[in-house]
Amino acid sequence: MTSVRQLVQDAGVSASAYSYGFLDETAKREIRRKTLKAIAIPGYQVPFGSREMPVSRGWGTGGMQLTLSLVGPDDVVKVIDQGDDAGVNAANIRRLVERTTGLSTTLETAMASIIQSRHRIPEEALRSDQILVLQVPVPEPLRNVERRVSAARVMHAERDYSKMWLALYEDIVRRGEVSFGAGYPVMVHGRYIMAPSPIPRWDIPLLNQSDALYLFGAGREKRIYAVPPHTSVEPLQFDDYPFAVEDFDGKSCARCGANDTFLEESISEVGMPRFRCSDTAHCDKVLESREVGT
Amino acid sequence: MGYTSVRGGLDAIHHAEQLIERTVQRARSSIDPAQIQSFFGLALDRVMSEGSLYDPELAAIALQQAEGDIIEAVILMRSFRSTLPRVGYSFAARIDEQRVHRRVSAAYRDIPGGQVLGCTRDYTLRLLGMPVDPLDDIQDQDVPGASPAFPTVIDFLRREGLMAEPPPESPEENPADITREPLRIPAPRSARLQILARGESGAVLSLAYGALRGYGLAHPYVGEIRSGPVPVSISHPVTGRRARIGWLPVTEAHMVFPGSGSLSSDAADMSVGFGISTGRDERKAISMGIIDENLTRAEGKTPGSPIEDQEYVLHHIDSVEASGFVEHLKLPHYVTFQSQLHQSRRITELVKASRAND
Amino acid sequence: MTGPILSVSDLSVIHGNECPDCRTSTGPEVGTNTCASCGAVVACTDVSFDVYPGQVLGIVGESGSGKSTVLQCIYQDLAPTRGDALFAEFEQGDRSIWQANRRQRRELRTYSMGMVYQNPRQGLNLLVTAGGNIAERLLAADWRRVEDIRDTASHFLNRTEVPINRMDDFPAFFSGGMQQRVQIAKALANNPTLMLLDEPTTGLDVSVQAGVLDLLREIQSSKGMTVIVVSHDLAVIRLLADRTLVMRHGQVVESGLTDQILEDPQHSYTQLLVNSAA
Repeated sequence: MTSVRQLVQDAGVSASAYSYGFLDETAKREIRRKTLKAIAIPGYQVPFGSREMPVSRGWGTGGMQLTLSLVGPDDVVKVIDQGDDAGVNAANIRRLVERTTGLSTTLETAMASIIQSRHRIPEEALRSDQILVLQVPVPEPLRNVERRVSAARVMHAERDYSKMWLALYEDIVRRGEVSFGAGYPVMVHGRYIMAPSPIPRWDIPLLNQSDALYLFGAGREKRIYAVPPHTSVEPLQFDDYPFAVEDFDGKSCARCGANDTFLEESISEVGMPRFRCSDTAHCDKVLESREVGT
Repeated sequence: MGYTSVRGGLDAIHHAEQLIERTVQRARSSIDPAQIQSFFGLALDRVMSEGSLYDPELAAIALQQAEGDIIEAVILMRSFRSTLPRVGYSFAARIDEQRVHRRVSAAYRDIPGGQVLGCTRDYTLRLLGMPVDPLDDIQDQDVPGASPAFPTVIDFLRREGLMAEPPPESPEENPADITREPLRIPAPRSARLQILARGESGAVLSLAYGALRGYGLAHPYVGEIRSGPVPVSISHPVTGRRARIGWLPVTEAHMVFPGSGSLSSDAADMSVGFGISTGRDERKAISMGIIDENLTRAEGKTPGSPIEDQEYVLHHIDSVEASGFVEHLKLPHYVTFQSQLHQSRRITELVKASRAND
Repeated sequence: MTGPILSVSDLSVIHGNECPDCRTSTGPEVGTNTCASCGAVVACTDVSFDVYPGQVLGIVGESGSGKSTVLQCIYQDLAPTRGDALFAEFEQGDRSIWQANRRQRRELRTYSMGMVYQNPRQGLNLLVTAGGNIAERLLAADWRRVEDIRDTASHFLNRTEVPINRMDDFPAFFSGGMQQRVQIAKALANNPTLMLLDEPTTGLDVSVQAGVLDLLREIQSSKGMTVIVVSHDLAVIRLLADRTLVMRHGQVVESGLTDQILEDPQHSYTQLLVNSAA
C-alpha cells in the first residue's frame, strides 16, 4: 500500500489518495442526514459537524460539503461565483469537484443537476430536478440584532422576532427605508426568519414557491438550512414600506443588450459606469440567440 | 486584467498557482523536510497544536509548502485531517507516566523530583546574532528522560484540602469531539479545552494577557509546567487489554488560581487552570491554562468581559476560521457591492430630499 | 360581582438552599431575611392577595421587605420558589402564570401586562429611539404598518407629555423625568389589563415626582386600569392605592383599605411607618 506520506511527498498530491468527493463516507452520511432535516424544517438552521476543506474556511466550504455529499456519478455540476462561472473562486471549487469525483461540469444552467453558487441565483428559471446550493458566510439573520448564537437560537425557537422588526423600524426612521442591500432577511413558511445568503434583492423573489430545491451551507459557522420546492419565502417588510428589488432605471447589458437581468456596474478607464449582466452564462445565452437570430 | 477578467478565471488561477509552485519547488529541491524537523521544532509544535494532528513529518512538509506561514500550514494539516476517520479513543494519558524533560514550579522552591530546567531559552540573552560559546561536553544520557514518576504540585495542594479533588474519570463517557459535533454554548469543559488547545497561539496569548491585565482573574501561579513525552494507550481491539501505541511529546501547565473560598460555601480556595500543547510550546500552555480557569469560574454567570464569555472566546480563536473569514473579503463582491451601491444611493437621495424639506 | 383579575397565593421566593427552618427563622418577628440555620435569603414567604378589575393595589415597605420581589414575579422577571398566580387573561385563570412556557410568558408581557421600573434604564432600550421603544411592544404584537405604529407612539408620548418632536431622538439624552414618561408610554402602548409600577417616582427629583404621579393617577382613572404599585413612600400609596399591603422582612404584616390602614394602623410596624411619615 502506498503511504499517504508518500503521496503527499510526491508533490503532485494525487487525488486518488482521497475519497470520492474528498469527504469520507461517515462525513457525507452525516451531512446528508442533516440536509434532510433542514428540508423537513424549512428555514431552520441545522448545526452539523462541518469538516475542514482544502480551501480556507469562509471560501465556500459549507456549499462545498453539501455539493460533495450530494453528487453521484450521474450528476452534472455547475459552479458560479457572484454570477460568474469563470470567477476565481468558482473555477477553484469546480476544479476540486472535478478532481475528487471525476465528474464533468458545465457552464450551462439548464444542463446542471447541482448548481453551487456564491451570492447569486441564476436568471434562468430552475427546474424541479435541479438543486441550487448557496454558500453562506453568516447563516444567522439575527446576528445584527443579537450577536450571541445561544440567545438567537432561543429567539428562533420562540419565534420572537420583535428585535428584528424593531431594527427595520429604526432603519426606516433614521435612514428613510430598510437599508439591507444584499442578504435581505426573509420569512420562510411563516415560521423562521432566514438569511438568504448575500444574494441581491433582485434574487429574493426567486426563492418564493420555486420549483427547485435550495440548500444553504455555512462551513465556518457549521450550519445547513433549506428552502424546499414550493415554499413561501417573503422578505420582511412593512405594509407601507414594501420591499423593492434593485432598479436599473432602463439600463441594459453592454454585452448582450438584456434589460431584464441583474446588472453589474464597473468603471471604465475614463471613469464612466458601464453595465453588464452579472449572470455570465445567461449573458452568453442571450448573446448566442441574438447572433443566431441575425 | 487578471483578477477582474470576465472570462479566463481558470487561466488566471493557474498562473497565480504557478508562481507559488515555483517557490515551493525551489524550497523542496534545496531543503529536506527532515531539516525543518530538526531545526524548526517550535514552529512545527505550533503547526501540530493548531492543526490538531500530531505528525512532525507531515507538519514539516506543510510548513515547507506554506513558505513558513504557520496558519497556512495549519490549514493544510486540518484539511488532510478531516479525511481521516476516527478509529477510536485512547485512554486518558497519565501525567505521572510522563518522561519529564523539563519541569519547573514557580510556587515552591523545592518540590519532590526537583526543578528540572532542561532545554529552555528562558535565561538566554536575546542578542541578535549572539556569538556562539564553546559547548560544554554534555552527554545525552545526562539529559533526564527515563525519570522516576514525578508527583504533581497540585497533588500536594489537594492533599492539604486547598484544592478540590478532580472529578472521577468516567471511562464509558467519551469526551466531546468538536471536529464532529458543532459547538453548543454553554460548552462542556472537554469541548472548551479542545478548542483552546487548537486555538491560534497569538489569539490565545493576547486573550490570556488581557485577562492578566485586569479583564479577568488576578495573578495566577505556575503550579508547574512540565514537558516531555507521555505514553498513549488504547484498549487492544482483540484482547481488550491496555496497549501502548506510542508517545506524544506535550507541555502541560497547571495554573493555580486562589480566591474560590467563601464563608457561604465549602469550596476549596484554590483551583487549577489546565493548559496543554504539543511539543514544547510553553507560552501556549500557560495562556490556555489562564483562559481555561477564567471560563470555568465564569460558568453560569453573565460575562463581564470577553475573557469570561464562552461565545466570544470559543468562536474567535480558531486560526482556520478566523483567517478564512477575514481573507474571504478578497474574493469578488461585485454583486453584493452592486446591491449596496443601490441602497446607499437611495438613502443618500432620501437624506437630500428630507434636508430640502426642512 | 366579578372575580379577581389576579389572585396570588402563597408566593415564596428563597435564594439559596432552603431548609425547614427558613420559614420560622425569618420574618418581622425575628427581624431578618436571612435564615440562621442554612444562610438562605428569604425574599418573601406566603404572600397572598387578590386584585380586582379597576383596582389599584399598593404594596408598601422598606427595602428588603420583598415588595419588589412580588412585582418581579408577576411580570416574570424572577421565578418564584413556590406559589400560584391565577390571572384572568391566562387560560381563564385555571392555571398559574408561573406554569406558563416561555412563549406564553412573552405573550402575557406583550398583550396583558405593562411594567414601569424604578430605573428607566431597565425598562427602556437606550440604543433605540423613544418612538422605537414604544414600537417594540407594538411590533411584538405583530403590528406591520409604520404609519399606525408612529400614530400610536405619538398618541402615548402625547398622553405622557413627552414632546412629539423628540420621538425620533434617543432617550439616553433625555432628563430622568422624561425618560420615566417614555417608559410609562411604552408600558401603556398595548393597553395592558394589568399595570405594574415599581417605585415609579423614586429616582426622580421631587419637583418632577408630583407631575408623574398626577399623570399616573389620571391615566388610571380615565382607563379604569388595574394597577399594582410598589413604593417605600406612603405619600405615593396614599395618592394612588385603593387597597394596601404592608410588607416587612418578606411577609405581609397588614392589609386592607388604604384609608383604613393610614387612619388606624394595627401592626406596630405600620404604626411606625404612618407616624414617621406624618
